[in-house]
Amino acid sequence: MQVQRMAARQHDAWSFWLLLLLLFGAPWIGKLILRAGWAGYLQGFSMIFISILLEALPFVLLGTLVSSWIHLYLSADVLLHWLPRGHWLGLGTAALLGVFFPVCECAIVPITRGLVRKGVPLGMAVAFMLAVPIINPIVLASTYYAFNGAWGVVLLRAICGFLVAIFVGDYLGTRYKDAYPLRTVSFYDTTRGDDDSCSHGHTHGVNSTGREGIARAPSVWHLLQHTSEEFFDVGRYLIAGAGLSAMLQTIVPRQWLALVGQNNLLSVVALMALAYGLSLCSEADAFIARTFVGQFSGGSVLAFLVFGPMLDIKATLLLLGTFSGPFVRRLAVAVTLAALSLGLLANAFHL
Amino acid sequence: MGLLRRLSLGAMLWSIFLSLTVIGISYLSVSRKLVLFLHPHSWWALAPATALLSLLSIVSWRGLHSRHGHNPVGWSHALFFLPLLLALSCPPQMLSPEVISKRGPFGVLPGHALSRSKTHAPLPVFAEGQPIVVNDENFLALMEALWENTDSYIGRSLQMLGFVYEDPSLGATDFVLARLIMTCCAADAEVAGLLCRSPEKSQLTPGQWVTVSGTLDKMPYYNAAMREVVEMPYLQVTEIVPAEKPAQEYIYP
Repeated sequence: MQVQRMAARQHDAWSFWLLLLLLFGAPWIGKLILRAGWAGYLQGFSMIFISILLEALPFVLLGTLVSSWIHLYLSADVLLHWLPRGHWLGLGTAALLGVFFPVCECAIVPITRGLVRKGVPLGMAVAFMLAVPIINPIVLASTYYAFNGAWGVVLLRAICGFLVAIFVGDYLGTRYKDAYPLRTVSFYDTTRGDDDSCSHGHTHGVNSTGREGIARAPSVWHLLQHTSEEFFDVGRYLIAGAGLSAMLQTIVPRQWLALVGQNNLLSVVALMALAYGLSLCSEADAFIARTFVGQFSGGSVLAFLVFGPMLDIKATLLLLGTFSGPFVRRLAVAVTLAALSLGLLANAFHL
Repeated sequence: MGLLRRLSLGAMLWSIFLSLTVIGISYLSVSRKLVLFLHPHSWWALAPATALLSLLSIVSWRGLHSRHGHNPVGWSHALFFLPLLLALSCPPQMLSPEVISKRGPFGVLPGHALSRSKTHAPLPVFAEGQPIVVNDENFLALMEALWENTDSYIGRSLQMLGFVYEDPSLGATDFVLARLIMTCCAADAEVAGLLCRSPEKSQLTPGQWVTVSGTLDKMPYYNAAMREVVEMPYLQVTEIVPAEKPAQEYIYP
């Protein structure tokens, strides 16, 4: 045991100094590699990667702060008391909550985790998670501006987002009635399986000085500590997702998409794939979608607007860090099929 | 080393990451290099985020001695340091030509700037016989006007600063004099610009900044997406002057 701990300690020390050395040597490493032929790709990758992170950072932080607040301060009894009783009423209410919580998809995943941990029915949590990045005042206003005040597009986006959210919420809520959807084993603590213990390895009622056994109301200090740990948990998935998206944007040419623009089926698939790969913020995606109008079928633009905020590379990685693998797979398949059918339906009616 | 032995190295790396991120974001905002990553209208969110990050870094510095929650150094830490490493080794600049060329020809085709110019500056009026001078403020409005009323601009002379963008669908003497439009962040930057025709094209390199003067005209252009031939405004170039890149490289609608 002692030997094992020593080895782990040594490994830690090696990695620690290696990372610091790389960090301080980075400007010189940069000077060397930027002479290579592929330097332009690295530079482009770096700019896109960091800009996605800078754009998402405030909202992920907000998400982890709110999630920690829910975890530490919101009593499950109070929360469950306020939830609507009926199945569909609950799903519908959850899907419309975005009107009061204008946050986008980066913040919503950690918040949803906090809610599920508190015992909010899974179906409602899923409907909430999927709908909020679309049905919220900021996103709908930007859609309105992007499409030159076309109320039809705004309404269609909101209605389709609502339908997909409650459909997938209903499906997953029923499917996971008696199963636990969250990742139970956290990076911080591989020995403890019960998620109620905050999954970060520290027990509640322990204050910052480490004196155990003095149970008292969690302080602001405690809230910040919890936020820091949650941000560590979520942040690495955000970075991995942003990295994948930036890599796709650096390597894969987008030109081929234009060739299938008028095909009823392929155009929907192509723009959904684009929305997945780009990982745009839902506050900005309407402006990008606008540039496809005319070149792409109406249904494909609608699918882009509905699918993008619900699922993209960044969100998939965030979800995988929060929920179990099979759960994320089912969620992804359901959302994809729902958005695809709506896009095809719109194309059938020549919207 | 005695002190280090008692501290959690993972926790220490975490607080170093948080502090460096705060320093990095502050440096980018003060030096205004942040405009290369983010549209100025989305900067506001970074202020509270940076404040919160500083608080978190203080909290995690104080938590270094805590015995519970051993935080081993692992891939997660490397992942967090990746953006910092990249930021330090690749100085911030506009997207490279190699990457811009992957972003598709959408912006060059009709319908690229439409909605934005409505919330942007009004279309400037240039007197008959006077050259049209394109600048950062009127770029979107003018490009849209050129697409919508191509005929009324034929024969007018125009001057514009932009970078050279090449597309395989264009002829041997054609290139696009382009600007990048940032809606929210560099990840959504799109190419928009004016098609130019010049025998001197072979002397230009993609990404090079030039000031181009010439006369506006139109030509048939096959739009692969629509599978139809459209009327495309273009500039018959009379003069190409190499230029310094502008202080503001992106256009922010």
